[in-house]
Amino acid sequence: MSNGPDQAALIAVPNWSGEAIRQRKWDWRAAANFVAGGTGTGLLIVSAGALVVGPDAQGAYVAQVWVALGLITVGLLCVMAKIGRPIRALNALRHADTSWMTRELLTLPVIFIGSLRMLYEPKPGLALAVLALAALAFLYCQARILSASKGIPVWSEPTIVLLVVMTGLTEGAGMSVCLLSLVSGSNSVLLLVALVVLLFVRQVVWARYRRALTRRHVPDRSKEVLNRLSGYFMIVGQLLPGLLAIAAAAMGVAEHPGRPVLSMLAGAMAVAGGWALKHTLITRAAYTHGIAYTLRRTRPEVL
Amino acid sequence: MHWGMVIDLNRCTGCYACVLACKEEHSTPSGIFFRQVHFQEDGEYPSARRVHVPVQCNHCREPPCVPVCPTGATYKRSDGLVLVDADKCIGCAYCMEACPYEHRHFVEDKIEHFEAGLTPAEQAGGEAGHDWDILRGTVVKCTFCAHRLERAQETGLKPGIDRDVTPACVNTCPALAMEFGDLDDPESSISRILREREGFGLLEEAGTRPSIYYLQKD
Repeated sequence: MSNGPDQAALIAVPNWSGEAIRQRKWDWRAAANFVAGGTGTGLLIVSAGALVVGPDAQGAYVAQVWVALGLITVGLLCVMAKIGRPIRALNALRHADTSWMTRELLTLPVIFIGSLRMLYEPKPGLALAVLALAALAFLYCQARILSASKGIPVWSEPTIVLLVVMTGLTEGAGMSVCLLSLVSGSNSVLLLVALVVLLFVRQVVWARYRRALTRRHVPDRSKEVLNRLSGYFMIVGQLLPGLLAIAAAAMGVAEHPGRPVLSMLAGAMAVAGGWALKHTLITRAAYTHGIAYTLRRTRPEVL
Repeated sequence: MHWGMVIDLNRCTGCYACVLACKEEHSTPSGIFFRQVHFQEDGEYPSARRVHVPVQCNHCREPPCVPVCPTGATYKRSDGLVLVDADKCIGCAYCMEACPYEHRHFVEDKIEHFEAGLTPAEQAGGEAGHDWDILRGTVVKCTFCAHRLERAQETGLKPGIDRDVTPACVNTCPALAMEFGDLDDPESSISRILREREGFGLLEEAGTRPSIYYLQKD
């Protein structure tokens, strides 16, 4: 029997009409909420930590809060552009007992009011702690929104929760490093070290998530998309920013003039890596189960 | 009471009559089918065969679409039906991502099948009387023909036995491949069938506990 191209094409023809398909309802606008909202809340958390460590850096903190609020607002506007009935959007506050989407929305008043309060009086204290906790809650809710989506295997894998939270924090640290390089021309060695540590943890969590996917039924197409992303993500989004941040931190000790540029590059790459990761997860890798493999005999629980 | 369905894959011939009966009953917009028929080809010539599997909303006992809904628009009734309150739905499509069966549908702006506009049948919204114009931008799904089941309460007729109060897809099947009835009633025909023959649900590993059971093709 010939194994030429025709035969290969014949074998590749799916024999099941219920194969996994890519979800298209949550498009780039939905991804933008996870991207911008995640980075914004990550930035609020990291900048709050930086303010506690260095209470004198109030000017830089205020700039970061403005950027964080801007990012979160962009994410919200993208969601509003996506939903079918934006005029009824407030209905989404009605199901806090079980819906992570409602819970995510309920953190927003605390985040916005808390941020405005901190813009007026930026100093460590209870208000800052509440704001940071609300931002963390927002990040966690985002992660749980994905994990509750049983229709998409790469989202419903439980380890995605830690991945989304960690990438949000890493993006926040990256954005903070970028902004401080731009605004004040410098940033602390401690912040660069924090970025390196977060990049390392994100790498560990990403590897754990990938391993977990191999242990459950995930459509091959999802795996192919994530395999393609993984190389770029690990080099451009993880390894390079980590090395640049270490180099910048080393220069910081010697107060080298090239340090802001290296810092900014490191931060930007860490942010871009996280954005690419989330955009890919939510749009390109999001295939449904398909139902071919479920045709098996089991005893119904009704009897 | 818990309404459910049994589909005998031995009997289903893949004629798509149920798909069309549903389409007619609900007059669903262009591109939306509350019921679809999937098929699988097994084996090789000369013993190849084709299995047809009708798929719709499974009205799960543990529906993943209900808890995720941020508005509470998706709800589960005491008789097992999973329905959508269109007045509350904001069309966020979260339920579509949560449903492992891909059987929730977003009503886009274009609801008509023909360029000339809505036909009289489309305007009437089928026997179910849906106002598709109002449903634009929301998510819809199979209702197990809830409008027929509600008629049963008024008339005393029995769903699954009396055609007037039985879902359209079940009524129309020429091969009698489907049974509809009360899964909680041990004397219902559907319960008897499931006692006699093993049934299975789609994607049971998702933990949804579907109310639709399939009887394996021999």
